[in-house]
Amino acid sequence: MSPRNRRDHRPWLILSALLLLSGAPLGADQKIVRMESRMFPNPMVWDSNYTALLAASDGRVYVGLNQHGAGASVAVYDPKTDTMKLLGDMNHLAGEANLNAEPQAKVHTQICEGPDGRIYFGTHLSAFFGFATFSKPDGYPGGHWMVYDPRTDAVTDLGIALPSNGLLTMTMDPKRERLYGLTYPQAHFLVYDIRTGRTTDKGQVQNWDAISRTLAVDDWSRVYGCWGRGKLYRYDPDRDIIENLQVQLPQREVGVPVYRAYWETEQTFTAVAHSADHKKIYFLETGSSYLVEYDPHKGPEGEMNLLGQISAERYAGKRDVPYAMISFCRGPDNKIYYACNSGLADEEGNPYWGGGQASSLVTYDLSTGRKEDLGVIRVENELAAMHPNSASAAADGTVYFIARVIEPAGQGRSASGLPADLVLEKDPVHKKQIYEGETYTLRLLIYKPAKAR
Amino acid sequence: MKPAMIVLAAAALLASSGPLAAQETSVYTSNPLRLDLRPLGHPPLDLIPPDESAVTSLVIGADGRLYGGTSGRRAHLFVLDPKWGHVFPLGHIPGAESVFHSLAPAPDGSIYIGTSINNQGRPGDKGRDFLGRYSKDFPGGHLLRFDPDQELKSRKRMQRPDPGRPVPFVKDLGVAIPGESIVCLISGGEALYGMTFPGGHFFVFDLRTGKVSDKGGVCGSPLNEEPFGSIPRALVRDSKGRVWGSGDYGALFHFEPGTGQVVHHPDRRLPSELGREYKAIVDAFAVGPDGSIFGGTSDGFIFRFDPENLKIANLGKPIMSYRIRGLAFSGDGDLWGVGGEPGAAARLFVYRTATGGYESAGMLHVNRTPYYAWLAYEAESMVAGPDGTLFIGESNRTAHLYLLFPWR
Repeated sequence: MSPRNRRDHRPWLILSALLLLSGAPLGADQKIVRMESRMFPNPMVWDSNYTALLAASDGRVYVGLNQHGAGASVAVYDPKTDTMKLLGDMNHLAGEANLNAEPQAKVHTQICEGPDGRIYFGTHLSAFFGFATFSKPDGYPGGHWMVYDPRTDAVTDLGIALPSNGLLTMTMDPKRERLYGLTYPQAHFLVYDIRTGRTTDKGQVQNWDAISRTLAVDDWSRVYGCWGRGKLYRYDPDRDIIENLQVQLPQREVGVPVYRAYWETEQTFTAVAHSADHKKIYFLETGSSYLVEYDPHKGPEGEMNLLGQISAERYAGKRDVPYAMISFCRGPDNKIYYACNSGLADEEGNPYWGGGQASSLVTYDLSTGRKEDLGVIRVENELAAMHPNSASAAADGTVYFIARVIEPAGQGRSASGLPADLVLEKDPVHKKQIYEGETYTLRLLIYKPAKAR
Repeated sequence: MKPAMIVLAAAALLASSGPLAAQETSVYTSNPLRLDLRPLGHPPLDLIPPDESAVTSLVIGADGRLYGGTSGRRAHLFVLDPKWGHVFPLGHIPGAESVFHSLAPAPDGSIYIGTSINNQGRPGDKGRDFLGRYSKDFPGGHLLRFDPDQELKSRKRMQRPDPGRPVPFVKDLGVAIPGESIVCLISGGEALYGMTFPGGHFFVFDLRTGKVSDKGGVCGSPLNEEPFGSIPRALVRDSKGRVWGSGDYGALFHFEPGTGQVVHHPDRRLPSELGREYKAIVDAFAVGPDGSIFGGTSDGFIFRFDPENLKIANLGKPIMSYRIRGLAFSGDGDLWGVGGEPGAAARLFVYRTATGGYESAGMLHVNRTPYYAWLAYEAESMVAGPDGTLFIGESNRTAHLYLLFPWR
């Protein structure tokens, strides 16, 4: 490296050093919550995970693993044997290994378990390099509905859901044996009938920049998403109609978000959970991390009830709250578990989702209304977990999360090497600079509430 | 490094670097300041709802206002008064699912409407069984007359939003052709001229007598893979009052009002891709300030047509996709258009008539984040307003009206 080049990089090295100095050490009064973690097979490959995590009824844990620009996979973790395996490359499973088109790089959907124990998920695209050409031959063929049968240990491709579109999120109505999906970029609402294998396209429900990241189903099989400024739409399968409702998530006015760019400040719910009887839905609102209880049976459009703000304690009641993550679930102890994005000190509020230097675990007891910030998440060797973006609770009470664990320099993937996901990420150079020097591995985090107590 | 070398290096860098990151939006919307949108009504409640809002007809009335017709579960009519600048929903048209390219203004200010079964021009969401809906239960598309003057005079201050209201002051003029949808309607010379689906009939409605004259099928039988067959989605009237359209194999026909005859021109065919000649149909027409006729085809070609010497000049294909779904002239004489197939993203373009060249105007993307933002994937109609504003109707499930302010 020439002297000139060394001088050019100096400001970013200094910034990185400052960030590390300010972020990594904990204050004396900082609470810590400890979790176990497991790396995935080929740990240097997987760069991200969104939503796709399921602790299935047989105890096994299914994880969608993304690889921008290449093939995604699904990992299966068996806690009985403490072993992990991969279900295969989604490009191969979709029959598109040699297509030379935008690959099946993500399993971005919620992972759902059918009444017969089969595991459903969908595939998605990654670096959306050519928005304008998404429907062209070199664009994206379309996300596939997929099913894994644990009895035969086989993945079956159920076909493309909607050409040129990825499956951004998905949910299941086990009663009617239907999958419901939302596509990106065209935001179409899809219905997949498992019995007939038929997909029905119900049309566009949102703009491309504000597509609901999760969908909810109530006990009457009605499906909910957001259509704008936190208002719900509702698909009623009996009437086969999507209605834009006026009922709205409690939220504050659009402001300057923390760890989220202004052009991505969709007002919606980031994550959902259900009451044990599925009669009530719990939404995690994006802008303020409000926990909202929705009773779909009260009145013609249901009723929203703000239970509280479940951001990390350091943000409670403040204006600048980190944008909500998807790592949110209800445990069998009737508690909400939320691994939220958090800073530690006065870090630079960068505009990228999950961009803080830490994450915290917050619980909310639905029975008592008590919120508790259990502290900053640390795994083995005091390593910090960041960017948690999925959660699922097992029947035995264990809560699983997927997060990026910050590795010592040179021992993980480069965080600055992640490509821009969205066409509107106008300055990927800035993103690279912010994360320069940071390395991580994507890991499964295991939290046992009973053991922690 | 010497100063001169630094200057040279900087100049070379500037020359080679291309667009700056801050200009990235120009990749897909070439001039975002010149494009805006309106919701179809007054949110949150007085709004033409999704599944009923696809804007499939736009026309400028004699009063200078913009009128729009929608398609979906129900068809709606709306108006935009340029003095207000926002969409006022006039109500739904009882019993109608679609107003497809079928709004026609009359000199007395009234707006004529032709109705149809929705999805007549493309495979339905539930498969290709829509032709089954053309049974004895479907009486046929109606012709209606809407009186804007009466509506405006009697419009009351709305006490509470009623998005389910029907359009007032609409007179049903009856079914044009029994069992047939109306899929194209224009006016001129005290008559309405229309096309029907699936039979491809050309008809004339005499505004003085209120009688329909069915000129019979002019388009042959539908093709299996193209539900619209060779039925044109647009008609145009020339300076001599002749009405032009396209039929089988993209061949032009015209209606001669003097003789009441349809004349076919089998050797005057629309431009098309090689091997797809049999599928070519006209999607849109626009008449320029000098009376010249321009058209767009299902294969995405633009052509200029001279009705006097029957010459068709193929002006090429401004977009990669098929379908030119809307054309309109700006005040300064440039031809603007919108096109694109279902499942892709609509594209805007402009044909600079003075120089004969195309420019891409990007996608229909309005981004006023954090206040509002929307990218339209499909648009089915386009018309020029009296002040030069171009109106573009989105035709997705959740649709908007786009306003384009042309630039040179």
